[in-house]
Amino acid sequence: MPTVLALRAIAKRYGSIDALTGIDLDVESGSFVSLLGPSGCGKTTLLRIIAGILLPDSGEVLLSGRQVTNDPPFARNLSMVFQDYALFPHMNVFDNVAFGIRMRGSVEDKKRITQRVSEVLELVQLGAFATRQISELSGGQQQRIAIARALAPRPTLLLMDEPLSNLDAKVRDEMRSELKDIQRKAAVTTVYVTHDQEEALALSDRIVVMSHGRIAQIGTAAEIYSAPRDRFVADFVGKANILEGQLTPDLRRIAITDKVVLELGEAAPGSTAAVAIRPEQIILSNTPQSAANSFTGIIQRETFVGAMTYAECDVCGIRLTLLSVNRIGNNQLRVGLRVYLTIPPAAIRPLPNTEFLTQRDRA
Amino acid sequence: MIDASRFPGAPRYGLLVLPAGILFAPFYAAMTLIGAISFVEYPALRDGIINITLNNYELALLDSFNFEVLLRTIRLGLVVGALSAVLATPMAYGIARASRRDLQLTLILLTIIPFLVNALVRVFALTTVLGREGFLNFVLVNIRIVDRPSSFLRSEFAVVMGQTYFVVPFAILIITALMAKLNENIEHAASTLGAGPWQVFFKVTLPRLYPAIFSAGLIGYALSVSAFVVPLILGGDQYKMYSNLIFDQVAFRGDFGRAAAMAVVLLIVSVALAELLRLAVRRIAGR
Repeated sequence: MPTVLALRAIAKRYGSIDALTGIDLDVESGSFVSLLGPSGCGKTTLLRIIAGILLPDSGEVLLSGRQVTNDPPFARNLSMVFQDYALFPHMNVFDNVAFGIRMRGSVEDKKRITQRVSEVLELVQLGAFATRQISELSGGQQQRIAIARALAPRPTLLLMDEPLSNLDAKVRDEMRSELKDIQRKAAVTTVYVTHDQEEALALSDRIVVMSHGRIAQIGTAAEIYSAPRDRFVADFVGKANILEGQLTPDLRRIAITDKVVLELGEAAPGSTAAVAIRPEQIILSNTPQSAANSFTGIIQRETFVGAMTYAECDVCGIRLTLLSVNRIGNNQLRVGLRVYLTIPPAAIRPLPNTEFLTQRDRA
Repeated sequence: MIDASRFPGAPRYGLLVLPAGILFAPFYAAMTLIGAISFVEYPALRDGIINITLNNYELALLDSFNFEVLLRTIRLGLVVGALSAVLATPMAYGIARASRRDLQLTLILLTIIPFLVNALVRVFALTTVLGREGFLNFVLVNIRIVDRPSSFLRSEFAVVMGQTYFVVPFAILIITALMAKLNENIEHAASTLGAGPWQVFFKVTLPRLYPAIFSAGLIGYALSVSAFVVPLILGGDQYKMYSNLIFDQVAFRGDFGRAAAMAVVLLIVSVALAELLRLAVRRIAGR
């Protein structure tokens, strides 16, 4: 797959704050890449640098191999969808969607403009809305029009800045699944900014997890979730129990406390200073188990979320979050219940201590 | 629509309008009195009788000189309103989109400072620019556009200049207020869609500023049709505006009846025209 977007050592400072440092990224044609991170991590700044709305202090932006680092947005042949939609309020739906085609100037023919506009309006399922005013549309409809407007000029790259975050929860879920369909049908390379890890996991071919202006990890949703590279990624993407401890000399076990020593699936790197365990990996039983990493715990708190119940469990003085699917026949977790739990060694993800220190330093 | 002033626990409506109401009441009382006086023939009470007449209005409207000055005054209002709105728009854009806060504050301050200078001082300052020995002539002669200096004073040009100079700060503040509220992402969106800087301005930014630009023009018009000081000093005897004629009736003839009738005519004509303009603009904008 050819590379549509390449970022080389992008850096940006605001005063004394490093908004972005050493950003390297390649985005393949047709792929959906998410920039995921908490607010202030630099993801929107990076998206604006790709768009040309902001210029980096150093580094290079290449679009389809072409150097565009200092080009203005209108010379980049990309489109952007904004969190607040940013539709043109003084134009109707048709003129909004046709704007990019008219500006790019490639299509002078009125018939072809009309054809392309109705094509993209069909794609976002608002075919009958061409003559509506923007003020007559709901939030969800406005966001669809914003997407149609961005797709109409057939951009080489589609940028989206938290496009779903202004929508109601229900509409957001609908739009999320539809967004993926639209992107696939339009076959447009997409860079998507979000702080919502579920959104990133559901939509992306690849996720770029960002923290404090740096890339913490790049990978598929499954890679990011099951093999987080550091403590930040483990903590930010999904729920995780993060336990600090001391490796034994043979590197095969980690001592969290005197009483809790966890057996690892394989020898861990010597730098390991903590481990991450996903709640769903912890196996619950009604009877004591003899397998490795089996413990007895007491439920301290429970949170019912519908399909499952999360519980905080005290295991020899350590707090562990675990979950139970609310299926008929499964024991309902409740406060005070004694449970027998097993942590499969393969489910324990060692985390290096490097990020540890830096996280603490930054906090 | 939610009527924000009527939510339970809102201040009493009457109390809200009372302070300004007290201030405005004498104005409307005086206007009513002027309306009444406009039908009185002066000198009044000569034999203890008040003569009611329409002659004041005949003179105010149909006298060819008065009519010419009325047209000139309306023209001044329209020209100054349009000119100041056009001149103010780029400046408002510059203020609202200043990259730094201190630059923005400096520009606003520079806009407001003329308000703090006495109106007479400002207008006299302009005479030193427009006069035969003035700065404008100095420039024009030196870049050889004219051979000999000639005074620009006592002309329509001088009055338009002076009045625009007076009105532009209002226009800047009005347009800046709206511009600052506009979502900048809309311009970014246009830019990413391929629009160059001028296209972004004319196709996206400017159309959203029209309401403020029109308001600014309307205020410039209102301030100019009632202009008195600027035409008095820069227009002189040769180039009077309607307000100056009203003043003359009172000051030199003591004819309050004619002055009142002329004031009423100016008020009605200028308000009617402003309303017509508003309707026309709404029809064009409404499509």
